[in-house]
Amino acid sequence: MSDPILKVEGLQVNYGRVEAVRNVSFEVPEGALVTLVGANGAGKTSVLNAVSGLLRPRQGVITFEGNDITKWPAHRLVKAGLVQVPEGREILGTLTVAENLSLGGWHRSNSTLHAKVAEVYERFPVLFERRKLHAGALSGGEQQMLSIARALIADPKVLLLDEPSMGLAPKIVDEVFAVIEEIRLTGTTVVLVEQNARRALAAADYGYVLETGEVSHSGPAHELLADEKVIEAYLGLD
Amino acid sequence: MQLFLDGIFLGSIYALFAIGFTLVFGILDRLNLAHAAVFTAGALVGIEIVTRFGVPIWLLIPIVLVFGAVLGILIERIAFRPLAGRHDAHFAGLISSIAFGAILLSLLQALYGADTRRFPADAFPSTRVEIFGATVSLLQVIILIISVSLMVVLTWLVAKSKLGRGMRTIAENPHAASVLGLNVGRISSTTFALSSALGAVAGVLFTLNVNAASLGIGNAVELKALAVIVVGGMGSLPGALVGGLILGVTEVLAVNYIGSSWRDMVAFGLLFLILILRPQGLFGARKTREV
Amino acid sequence: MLAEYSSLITLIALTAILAYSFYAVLIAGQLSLAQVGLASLAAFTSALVVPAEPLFGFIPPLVIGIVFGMFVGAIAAFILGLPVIRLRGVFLAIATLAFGEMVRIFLINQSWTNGAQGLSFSKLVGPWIAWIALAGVAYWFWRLSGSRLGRAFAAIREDELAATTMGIDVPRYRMVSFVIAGAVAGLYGVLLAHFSRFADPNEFSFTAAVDGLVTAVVGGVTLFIGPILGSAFLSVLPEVQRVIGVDAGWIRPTISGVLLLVVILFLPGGLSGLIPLRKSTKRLIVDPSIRPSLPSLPAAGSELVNLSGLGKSYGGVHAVQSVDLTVNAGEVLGLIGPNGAGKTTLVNMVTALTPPSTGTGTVLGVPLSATTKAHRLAQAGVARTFQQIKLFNRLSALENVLVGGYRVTKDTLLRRLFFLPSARRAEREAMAMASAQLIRVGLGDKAANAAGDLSYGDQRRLEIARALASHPSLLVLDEPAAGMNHVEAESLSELIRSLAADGIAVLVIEHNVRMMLATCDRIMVLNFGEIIAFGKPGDIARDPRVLEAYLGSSGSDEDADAASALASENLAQVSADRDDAQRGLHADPDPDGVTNPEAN
Repeated sequence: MSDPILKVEGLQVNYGRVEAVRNVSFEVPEGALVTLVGANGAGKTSVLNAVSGLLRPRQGVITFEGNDITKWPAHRLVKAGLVQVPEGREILGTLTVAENLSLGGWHRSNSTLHAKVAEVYERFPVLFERRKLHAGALSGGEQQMLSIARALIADPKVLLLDEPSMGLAPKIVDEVFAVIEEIRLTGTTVVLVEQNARRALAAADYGYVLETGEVSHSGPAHELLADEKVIEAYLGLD
Repeated sequence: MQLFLDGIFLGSIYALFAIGFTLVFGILDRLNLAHAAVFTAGALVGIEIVTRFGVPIWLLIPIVLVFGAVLGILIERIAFRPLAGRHDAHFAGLISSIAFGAILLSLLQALYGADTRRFPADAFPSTRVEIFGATVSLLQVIILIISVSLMVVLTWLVAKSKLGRGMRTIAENPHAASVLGLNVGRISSTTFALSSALGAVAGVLFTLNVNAASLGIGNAVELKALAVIVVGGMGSLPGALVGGLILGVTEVLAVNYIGSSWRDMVAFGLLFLILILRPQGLFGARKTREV
Repeated sequence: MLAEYSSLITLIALTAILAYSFYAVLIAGQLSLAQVGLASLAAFTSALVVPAEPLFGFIPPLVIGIVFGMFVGAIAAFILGLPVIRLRGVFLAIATLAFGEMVRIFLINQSWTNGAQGLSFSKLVGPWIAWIALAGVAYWFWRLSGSRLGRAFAAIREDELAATTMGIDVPRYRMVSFVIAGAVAGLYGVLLAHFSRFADPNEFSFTAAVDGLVTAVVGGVTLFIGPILGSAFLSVLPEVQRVIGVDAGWIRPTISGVLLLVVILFLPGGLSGLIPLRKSTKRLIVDPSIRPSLPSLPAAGSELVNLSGLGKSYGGVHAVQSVDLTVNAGEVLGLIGPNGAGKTTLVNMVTALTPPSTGTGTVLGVPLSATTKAHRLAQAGVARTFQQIKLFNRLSALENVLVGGYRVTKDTLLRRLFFLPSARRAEREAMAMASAQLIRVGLGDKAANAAGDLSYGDQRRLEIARALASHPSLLVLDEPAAGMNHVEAESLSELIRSLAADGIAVLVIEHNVRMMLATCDRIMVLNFGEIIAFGKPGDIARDPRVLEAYLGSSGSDEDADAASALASENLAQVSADRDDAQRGLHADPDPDGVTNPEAN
């Protein structure tokens, strides 16, 4: 088995003196879809932010393509191909859809940018239709698509998604997950953080369950899905 | 008409200084109170350069721009970056920039003393021109041209360039900017550099206008500039321009009709008026971010 | 030797008083820089009033000056405050600085101040008087810091919104801090003028205002002694430099500037931050006899909240549409629904933090409209927690809960000034109540810890303790179980049920549906701002629309079956728990009782 494209070992993240992430380790094989699930406040977003270079971890080592990226700042990581689709979408409401997309290509040359944008419009025709609209006018689902599309412009090797289903109607969540699956099929590695554990585990290859800052269960996703303890704790009616 | 033109010239200098303030505030949500010291530094260093090397205006301005930019980078590194992420960052930033300004002023005092300095008498042409029946000096016209062109360049930069897009992204959502991979640190530095470059040139132009510079000029103008940016709208570039011009004209008119001792009141009167009637300023939008 | 330094000693005291006037507004989180202008007004107007001879033969002229000056300072602060009080942060600073300048220009142009040449004053103030005055001011602020008013200021500084939901009338208190600062500034102005024997309006300038601010910040606002430390440090510094011999005109301000920079960058709490706080200054009081008797809660079953047609729209987007809501004393009403359903918006309307677009009704007897103020509802007996925890992070856990008790405690400042025993009794009662709440949520041993340092789960519990401290009739909890594991969620569920048993009405928003089924008497399900189901937990668990809302209707058949199985499994579990607890809910014993979700 080849080395995982992304590896996290012994991650500890603090907010002030609060330990949000205690000792998290996980591996992401290239081309796989790995999901981190758990309740609110379990530390999932903190893990993702540490991996993306938005937070400095207290301790731990993060490796990407064999390089130690623990101390790399976010802008360097995006350039290297590690891109996040943040929680709450964080699109720029006062800019148009097209301008938002072009921001995704901040590190790309103009020509590459045009090519990627064309690709993205093909995959997301609704964004092409709305390209001149202000992003703030889009619906929740469309904004999520925009956020994902924007990340794709950066041509990521690893795509990190933080709660893409949040606040979306069930039908739209289906569409989002369909897009995620497509992305995966093109060979991009995906790390998915989700509160909707059932959907995430159904889509993923491997899963890690986070509970108050630590990994409590891990393994192939379909095994976790069938695991009694996991169901009881997390699946309930959510 | 004479008064009006005098007011425009004065106002354009106020505007140039204020635009530096409002740029940093609008993009980075920080109030840089060392800006006044940069203004003074620009003036005094400008005088020094002309006195020592007899440099003409068209060369002086770019030199002072660079000098100001360097000061801006230093301010960002020393007074603001170490505070990033602290919950009292706004407040602490005020104090740290005050401290930086004080240090800068005392260094200026060490170099140039506390007395008033002037440009050498024959350094610049003193021709006078007639426009619309009023007499203005060529110097004033040049000042106006320089102020306005710098502001136009800045506005173009923010609106059209890639750097400008980065700045506007950070202004709207600094977190999204980081997520997108923008080098927020470098863009912040550049914003400060631009702001201080303009502030330093404003100092030079101001001194050219009145031909006197001393350590206290920065403070005197700073408070008025704060009034200008509140009136124009915090964070709005056109607001700073319009606000500055309005202030300049109103001041000159007030001095003429009411008396010079009340001159400085004009700025504050306008300030309070705007705060009560339209707190977001003439061009400002209601910011959702709490300052 | 002392005589040499008498001037310096007096100036340290006076500068400290000026710093206290800044301290007075900074502790309430306001960056007001008007104090110097207010001092100037007080100083010059006092010149008109201070007599040359003692009034009535025995009242010293200085006393008259002080009383008058403080009065002028307070009134002027109030008048200034009216337009500017709603400004915040930088805007407030700029407006107040401008005010100071306006005063300066105004006074310079008045003939009775002698303009820029200045006015002479009789020398009435020396080191003794200055330090006695300082002691008085320091004493006042010392007694303030342990009082309900002092805690209210700290709460406003930390989190205004949370303070409002505890019944604190924030605008009023901000004005109070303004006026106090004005009075102290007035004192400073009068004393300074009568010490320097001379004053001109230009002394009270922008630079002086900035110096005052810097002194307060360097001293620090966490301890009442801060301004004295700051003043001593900044006044002594130039003297030290003079003695050492670094005297060139520019070196002193450079060193001062560098030191200020160092303090602000590395010592955020100022010099007073260097003083280690005695950790266990406040011991919990567990003796139940000290707890005061509180008014009894409304009778169980009485209707506390009755709202109909409640709705909120932003532009064309309906966040909440036409919701009817009733809550009775002693019941637990749950509010569930997918993310973005509008639950928090609904609850924000019920607690008057968001003005409703439509709807009528009352909450605890207070009519709910777009103009209802949140602190009014809080004072009527509504308490709440927040989805994003809003604790007063730099205050200790105990202090957080003490602030929460605002509504049921009386202010003790005036009595504290005289160390009256009734004040001490009232404080002990407040402590007893707060201690009880902390112990009840299991945080008794963490009372002295800063709230921001607690773990996530502890912070959630602290927020609840703080809400309970106000002895509410209606408790609103917004996602209290977020981040809790199985065990923690269960103990929270028990806590909620015991609160209801005590007679409190509890309205809970939660994602942990299993917990809600076990805890609530009635459950309301919200989706896209509308109620899609309402009833007893058993009914809700079986309602296909609820399942659909959560799962996604176009999932595969397998998913739907799995959902049903899980639902019935949960239901069986829940009904077993319920039967154990003899709740009397009729659960359907048939495991296939769950109908298949109808196809859309």
